[in-house]
Amino acid sequence: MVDPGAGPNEAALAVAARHALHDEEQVAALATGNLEDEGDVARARQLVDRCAACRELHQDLEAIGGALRAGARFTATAPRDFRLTADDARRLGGTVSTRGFLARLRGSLVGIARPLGASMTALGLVGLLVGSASLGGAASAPLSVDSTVNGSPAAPGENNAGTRSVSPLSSDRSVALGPGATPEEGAAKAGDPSESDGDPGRSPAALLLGGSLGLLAAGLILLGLAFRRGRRDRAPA
Amino acid sequence: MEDLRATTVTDDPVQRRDLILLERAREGDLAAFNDLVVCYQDMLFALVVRMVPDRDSASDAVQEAFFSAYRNLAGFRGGSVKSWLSRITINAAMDAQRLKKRRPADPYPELEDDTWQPPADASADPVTTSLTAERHRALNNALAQITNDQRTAIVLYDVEGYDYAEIAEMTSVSIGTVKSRIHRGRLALRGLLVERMDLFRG
Repeated sequence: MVDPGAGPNEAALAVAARHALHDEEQVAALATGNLEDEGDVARARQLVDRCAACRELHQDLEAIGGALRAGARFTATAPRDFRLTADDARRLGGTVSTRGFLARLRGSLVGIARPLGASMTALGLVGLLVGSASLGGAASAPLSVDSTVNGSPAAPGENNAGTRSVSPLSSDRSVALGPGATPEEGAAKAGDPSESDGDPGRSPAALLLGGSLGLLAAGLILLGLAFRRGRRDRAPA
Repeated sequence: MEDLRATTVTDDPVQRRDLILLERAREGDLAAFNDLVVCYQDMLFALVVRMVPDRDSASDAVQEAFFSAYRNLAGFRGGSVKSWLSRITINAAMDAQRLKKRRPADPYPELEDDTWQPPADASADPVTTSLTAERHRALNNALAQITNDQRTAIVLYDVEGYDYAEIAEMTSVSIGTVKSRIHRGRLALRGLLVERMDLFRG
């Protein structure tokens, strides 16, 4: 509190001393509309309401903000002509046509990326289904042949898979060697997978599966790129 | 390369004109690019000279911005040509500020801003016009004396009307830093203008 008996200078000094403790930045932030926290806004408001110097500062800052915004309507004349000469253009953009061509090419590639990616993905999925079905068929067919060859068709309810390997690899090998093959021949043949006709790594179904996986991956990559590009183009400049 | 007129649907005739000129410039038409230069050179110079108050440096920055725009025509991704040019120019102005900072022996001269034109719709009252011009001159002089970072933030926010997020992206700082540069910059302006605040009050 200012002593009522003090002179005007002392009163002003007391006000100035009190104001010196106030956070001017908070008042400035309030004037700029930069305060988000409710507590900060309330504190700044309190300063403006209770302190004459803070109030004056707030008013001045608002006036400066208004003058700055009004100044936007002032225009200045460029002191020189900034148009490019043919020499400038040659120096800067000698490759404009090349770059234009590349950009055009990239644009057209981007244009077909989405449909191409979708087609490749669909083809890849179909290939995967067909390949899986073929491989599944190839795996189950030798099993039944084998059962017949050994002269003991699986009895209903008998766990055939438990006594024989369910692996299509071993079934195929049994068939390829034939019933007359000796165990040594079989072992030698089994030891060299590259010689096996039934190696799924070489079968058309496995090739189809591999190709389809590749197609699917390429399609998904293309779709991803097209999607990213689309999002970037939709973003404001 | 996409057809900009096809990808950007706009009813704004100015933007449509800009996109047509830009499309032609991308096809190698220098005259079309120069038409864009003529349309925007004053506006961009006014923007740069607020950020770089030395007129020669500001001119160089604007010229560099147009060079850069010509080199990067293929990089235009649609939207507003004016915004695209403004962003390139702001980058050129910030480069000019950095160059100026490296040569502190060459201080900013006082702004001889007689070339500033008052708003076309300003009141015909000569007293008001004179007061507005005087206020503008005082403000520009004060702006020239605050730090580059504060000036850039204030010009982009108050004069050019960008929002905090856009300024943060353009100047590669956080939104909080942008806000603090703006209100500290205004405080600094008030400190410089404290003797002349009567021009701004009421």
